[in-house]
Amino acid sequence: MNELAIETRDLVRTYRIRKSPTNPSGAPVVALDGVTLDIPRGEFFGLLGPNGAGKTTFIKVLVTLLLPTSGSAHVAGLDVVGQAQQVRERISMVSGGEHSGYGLLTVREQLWMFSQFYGLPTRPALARIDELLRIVGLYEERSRRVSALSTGMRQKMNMVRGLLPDPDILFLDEPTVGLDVEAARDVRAYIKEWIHANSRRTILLTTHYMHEAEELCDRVAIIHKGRIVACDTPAALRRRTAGGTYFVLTTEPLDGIAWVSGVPGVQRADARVTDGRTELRLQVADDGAIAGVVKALADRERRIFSLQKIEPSLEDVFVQIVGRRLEEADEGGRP
Amino acid sequence: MSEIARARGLRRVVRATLGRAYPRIIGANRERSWLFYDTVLPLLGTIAFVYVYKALGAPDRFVGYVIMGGATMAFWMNVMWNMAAQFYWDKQGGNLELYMVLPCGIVPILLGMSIGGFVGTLVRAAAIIVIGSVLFHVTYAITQLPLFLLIFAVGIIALYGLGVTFASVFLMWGREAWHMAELFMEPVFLASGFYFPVRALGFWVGMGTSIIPLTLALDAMRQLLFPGSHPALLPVRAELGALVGLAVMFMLVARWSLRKMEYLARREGRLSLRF
Amino acid sequence: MPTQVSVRSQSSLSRWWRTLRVGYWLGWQIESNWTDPLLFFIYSIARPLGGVLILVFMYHVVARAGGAAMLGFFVVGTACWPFVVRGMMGTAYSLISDREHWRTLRYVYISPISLRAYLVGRALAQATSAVAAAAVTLVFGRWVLGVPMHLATINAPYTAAAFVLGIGAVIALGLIVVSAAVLISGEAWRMPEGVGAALYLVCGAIFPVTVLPPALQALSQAIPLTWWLEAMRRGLLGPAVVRSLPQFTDPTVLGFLAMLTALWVAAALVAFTFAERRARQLGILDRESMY
Repeated sequence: MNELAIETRDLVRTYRIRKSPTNPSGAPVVALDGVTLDIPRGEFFGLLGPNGAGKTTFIKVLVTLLLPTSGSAHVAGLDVVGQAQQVRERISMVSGGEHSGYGLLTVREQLWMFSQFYGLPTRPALARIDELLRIVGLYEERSRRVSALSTGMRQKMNMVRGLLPDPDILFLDEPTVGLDVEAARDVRAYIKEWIHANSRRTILLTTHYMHEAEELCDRVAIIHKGRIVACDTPAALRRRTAGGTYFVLTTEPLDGIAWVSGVPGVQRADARVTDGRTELRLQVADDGAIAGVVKALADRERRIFSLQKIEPSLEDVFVQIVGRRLEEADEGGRP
Repeated sequence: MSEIARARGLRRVVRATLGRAYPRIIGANRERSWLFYDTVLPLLGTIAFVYVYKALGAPDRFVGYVIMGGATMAFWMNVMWNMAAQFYWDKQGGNLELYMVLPCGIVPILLGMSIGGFVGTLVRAAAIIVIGSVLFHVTYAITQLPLFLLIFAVGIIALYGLGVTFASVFLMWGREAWHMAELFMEPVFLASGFYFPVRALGFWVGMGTSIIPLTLALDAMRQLLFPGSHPALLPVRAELGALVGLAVMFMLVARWSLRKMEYLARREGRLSLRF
Repeated sequence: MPTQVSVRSQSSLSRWWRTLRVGYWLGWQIESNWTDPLLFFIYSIARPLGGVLILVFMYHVVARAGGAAMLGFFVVGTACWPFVVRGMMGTAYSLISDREHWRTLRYVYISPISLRAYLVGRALAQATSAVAAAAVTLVFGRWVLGVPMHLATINAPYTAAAFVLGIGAVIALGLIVVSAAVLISGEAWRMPEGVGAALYLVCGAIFPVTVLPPALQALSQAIPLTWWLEAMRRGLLGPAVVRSLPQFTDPTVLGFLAMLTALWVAAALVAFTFAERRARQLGILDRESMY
């Protein structure tokens, strides 16, 4: 069995665009620009990027909806171009905000229909449907028509549809869009449980919610303008951020701070005075260095009002790499 | 979550086909208004054409022609709107991309759509024939029932094969699909002789329009319903032979075009792009 | 600083006119921009031409003596009917598609415009798209089928007056259908088609209403479209035409058309006002059926 769930090499996908005022030359738009990525089996992998960065195109190539323009992509060791049918035996997909489904069917009927497409026998399929509906909190609505569901309920139903065939590799494209806080939390908790219950399972998640990626993903890649610009564990990515971890210490007014840089382990110190207090921002080689600063302040008979450790978030990593916050990047992104 | 063994091969095809047919069949029961519209609309059109013949002082058998045309129209509309244009609606609704990544493939989906659509339409067509015949006192004398049913069955297979071909073509046409389905209404009613014997178009024109399976199916069934008085295009058995040929051809063309269009759609990225 | 534009000071009539123009422009963009002009033209004329040819062949397979006058009847009826299909049904589809497909109805509704003007604009755009079909059908009827339609015998003022009144009647019917569409969701897409099919049967589109049973004849005379089609035939074809309403003179037909159109316009405005208010009460004005 191949140990890589997903493997891409120099993956390129361009779209031919008609000539228009915004694209007078009619030049093709590059959605994926040489993406090389390995995702091992069992990993919960996140893909972050602004709108138009290539996230959805990447997923569509992997789930066999789109052919790559060049390069190669393998899912479960199978070529997405030449072995599309075999790939489909092993995958499932849930897209956020999708309106799929037949309005006249009930939730249970809609899900049963999809179970038949995967060849599941009716009785165990219905049992699994009920089990999953209970997990996402939709069991009470099982006999309700799809047309009468709210956006959040539809999204929960789609999540159940994605999990129904128990795929080896689950593609989640913004799966919690439109869900309320509680439902999104339930869904996150369940997919975390789902992936850990079986080592063959892999998830590729795209999301706009940084905290979601931080909470769920073993590794995260940031995609920008069709290229993977960073890929590591969330912790490692945070560490790579310029500035890294720092402390903010508020104390009684200080005459000067030149001495602070002399404390062993302190790499950089900045200060500003607000409300008659001095706020020190300290970058240290390791957390232990902060003890030296505290002792030095005590020696100078300066009271300490607060001490806070600040760690960079994935948002900070994103800002540093892409140059903008995710929301700002979206506004400037291709629709 | 416990493991469930998946059916493969033919068993999965059967399951998937029945799964996709389910909404079509259940829809007819659940949405009574659909039943009303799908029966009453062709019936109203049919009655209008009955009155045209009455205004022209035509013999009674022409009323029978029109009622048969109305029943056939129900099948044509089902094929155009619920087969050929269905992928367009599915694309709009987001179902198509889910279908395209199914392990069972797209063929059982189309098969299910066909069977579900056929069952519902058969009921509607029967309703049109019964209501129309009662309203206008039309009687039929089928001379060879097994042959009549055989012609009907082969004609339906050829027709739904054409529907699958159109489905793949419409898939690429995107938003033009439903306009194209509309385009294939009156011109096809004319070319296939829904309301008059197709022979009236002239022999060679009639032969040309026989590429639409309903042309020969209608002509052959009318020959059996109105023996002696119907001006035939070809003898019944020759029309049956041609219909078998069309059925085989459309099934092969449908298979080829579906593969071709699926490949093109994946290459062009038009499976899920909305306009 | 953005340029200050005051729209509040505009008179209600100029706003109504502006809204109608925008509705017309939007309707035309949606109607005509889905394909290239050639395919659009073919699409516009194929259905009516197919329709008239069906009738021509029905006529030929029967070919009774004295039936020739029916050809003109068919041709004018088929030429005029696309105005009904597109104008009346198009108005309804404009609202339904804005609500269900484009999902813009709520934003249009809360903007300070007259929704009636907007819908009339959309309806007129749809009706415009029927002009090519009507013209081609008439030309085909005159020069290919030999229908006796000559410039010398066409009563132009009568025809023009009938045409304008007919479009008014079509829009009034459209507003009535829209009023129903506002209040229903699941069947909304099919309902205009059903109304169109019923009108096709009772209004003398392709056969004289004299062949209908008496009850349907009485119904047909309450609908302005029957009088409109009759007036258009009298204006375009002269006295040799088969009549739907043979007991009335030409001026009487036009008079009834004017009166019924006025009545239907009034009824449409009342119906729309009621439907709009009721939909707001029920909170279903922008409801999507998700079918």
